[in-house]
Amino acid sequence: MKTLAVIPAFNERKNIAQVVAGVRKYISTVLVVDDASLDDTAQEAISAGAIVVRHPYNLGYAAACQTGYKYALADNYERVVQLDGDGQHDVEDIPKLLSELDHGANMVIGSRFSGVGDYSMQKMRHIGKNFFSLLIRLSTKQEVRDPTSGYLAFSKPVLELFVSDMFADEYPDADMLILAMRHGHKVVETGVSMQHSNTGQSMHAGLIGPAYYMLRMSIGVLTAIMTDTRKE
Amino acid sequence: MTLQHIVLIWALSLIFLVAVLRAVIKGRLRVRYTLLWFGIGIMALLSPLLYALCLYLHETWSFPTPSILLLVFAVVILARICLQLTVVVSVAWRERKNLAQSNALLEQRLEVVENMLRKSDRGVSA
Repeated sequence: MKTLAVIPAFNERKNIAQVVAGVRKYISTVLVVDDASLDDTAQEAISAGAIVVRHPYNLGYAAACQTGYKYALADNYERVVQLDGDGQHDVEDIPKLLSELDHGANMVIGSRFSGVGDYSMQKMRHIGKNFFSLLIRLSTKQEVRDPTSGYLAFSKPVLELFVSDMFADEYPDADMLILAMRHGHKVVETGVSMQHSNTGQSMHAGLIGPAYYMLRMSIGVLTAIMTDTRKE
Repeated sequence: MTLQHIVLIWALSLIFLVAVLRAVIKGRLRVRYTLLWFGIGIMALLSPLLYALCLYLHETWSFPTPSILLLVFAVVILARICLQLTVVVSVAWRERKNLAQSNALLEQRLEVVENMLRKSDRGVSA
């Protein structure tokens, strides 16, 4: 089955080559979406054997992911595995994600809280994660332990949904899970191990960042819940 | 309302309407976004006639003064204009994003084609 690995990246020169090389052990075609990095991310990714699509200017994480999905659909890929370019996600977990797709799931979340590894997060982020898990449970009656994971795999029907204008314009997290579930896609979780990022600063650092994220995501979740799925 | 007041209001309303019209003629403002501005200009033009209505409404709805009633209307209209502008900006942002994504994908495909051509050129010359 034709599978593409999508890695959205911004200023990941230090890690991207290692990540690409790791992913290529399991998926031969790796696409790095360079979101107008100011460093040599694109060159490093190319030399590691990745295909690189460069945004003409910084469009943000969600748009970088969506560019990858658009590439996958245009080239008739049937499955996509998405992971971060900072080396946080363990590439050894890729077969587990793909195996879930093989067993009928449309979307697989690489969960940091499903008994694999010892990933811990700050208390505030933990509260936020639990809040979005609760929103997902209330709106879809499905338990999701890690609604903010960026380690995902999905099949073509979910790709088709995510290239539409319904896709998040900033943070594709809990809102997109709800959107996929409400469109009848089977979303499952599988445990993955994860390390803390060894480069750069988290986009949810500080006080204002997380507060903005919570507010923004709450509106996104509300929008996803209210989206009329009968249109499709 | 004295005749001087009416003349002043009409003059200001006409200047406003002409300014909107000039912006459209010069292509700085799209016709579809001018309807609200024209509406406001015409309302201002008719405001001397609406004066009596304003007095009547302020008494009926128990506003302390007619100016507070006008302030409420002005805030509502301003909020509507701001909403319209943010809708326009949001649509433009989404279209710009889609265009940038298409551009990035096309450039990547162009690079692939160029590389293939270079390779075939080298093959021919060899």
